[in-house]
Amino acid sequence: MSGHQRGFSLLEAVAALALFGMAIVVAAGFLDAHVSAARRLEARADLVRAAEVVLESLRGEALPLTGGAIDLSGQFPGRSSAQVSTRVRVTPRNLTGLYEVRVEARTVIRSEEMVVTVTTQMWKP
Amino acid sequence: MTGRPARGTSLVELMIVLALIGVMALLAADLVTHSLTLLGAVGRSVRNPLVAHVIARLRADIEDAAAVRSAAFAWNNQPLELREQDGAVVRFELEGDRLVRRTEDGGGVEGEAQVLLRGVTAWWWRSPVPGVVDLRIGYLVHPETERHMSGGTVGAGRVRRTEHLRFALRAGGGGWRW
Repeated sequence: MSGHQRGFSLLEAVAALALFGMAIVVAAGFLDAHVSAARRLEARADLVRAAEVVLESLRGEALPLTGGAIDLSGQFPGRSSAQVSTRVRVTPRNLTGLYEVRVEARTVIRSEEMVVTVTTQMWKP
Repeated sequence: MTGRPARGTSLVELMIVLALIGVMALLAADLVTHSLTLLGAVGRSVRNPLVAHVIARLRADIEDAAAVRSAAFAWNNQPLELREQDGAVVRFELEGDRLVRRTEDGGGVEGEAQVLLRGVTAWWWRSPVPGVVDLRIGYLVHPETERHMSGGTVGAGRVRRTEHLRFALRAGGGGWRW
């Protein structure tokens, strides 16, 4: 045989693994950012659903048209693990029987507060 | 032979390499876990377009209804019958694993049945107050179809989703308008 086989040295193996490790760490950083964005997307969808449920409850008079905190998460659970809290604010408008209804749904994702607000008007003819 | 003779690896060298490989494996496992979390979160947050269409159909029919026929306070899996303002009736019911919508005009003539959704595993509704209908619809969906936004066939790998919905009747129940 010409030449000889000596395999990798420890230095070569460590260098290769270090490069591989750095690549994984960089990829993990990118992926973590995407996971964070996906969690926010998921939580936002839950916030919209929670606000819709509260609004439909007010419209159908399943709940009285008064302001304050409302918790319907037991009956209408979200898909994410986010703890959603909803609050209603009712403001009478100039016309009799006409109200501005503002529903706020809030949650905290990775120490960041997220809020979805739906504002509409309701009246009783 | 020229150069160093082959001497193999020492135990220390082997242990160092194995330790590094172990760290790499842990990092890679974390990546995989993150990827699965990401896929799950995206899949849950985005409704299948077909399901979104069905929900829009249900919302429109319930909002337009004047009343719920045979309104039930408690959850039940019977057909949901809505009486429209013009006397027509819209009925939603589960036939096997299909959610079907049927209509009947004021004269009692039945229209064509529409299969709204296949792969339905649960159909529950209630009307806690006259102006509100709550729905729970369980269905199977393939994560692939959620990502590619196309139809899918029943098969392995499908996941179960449940929609918890509440819709108010515009034309009946409470006196609020919006």
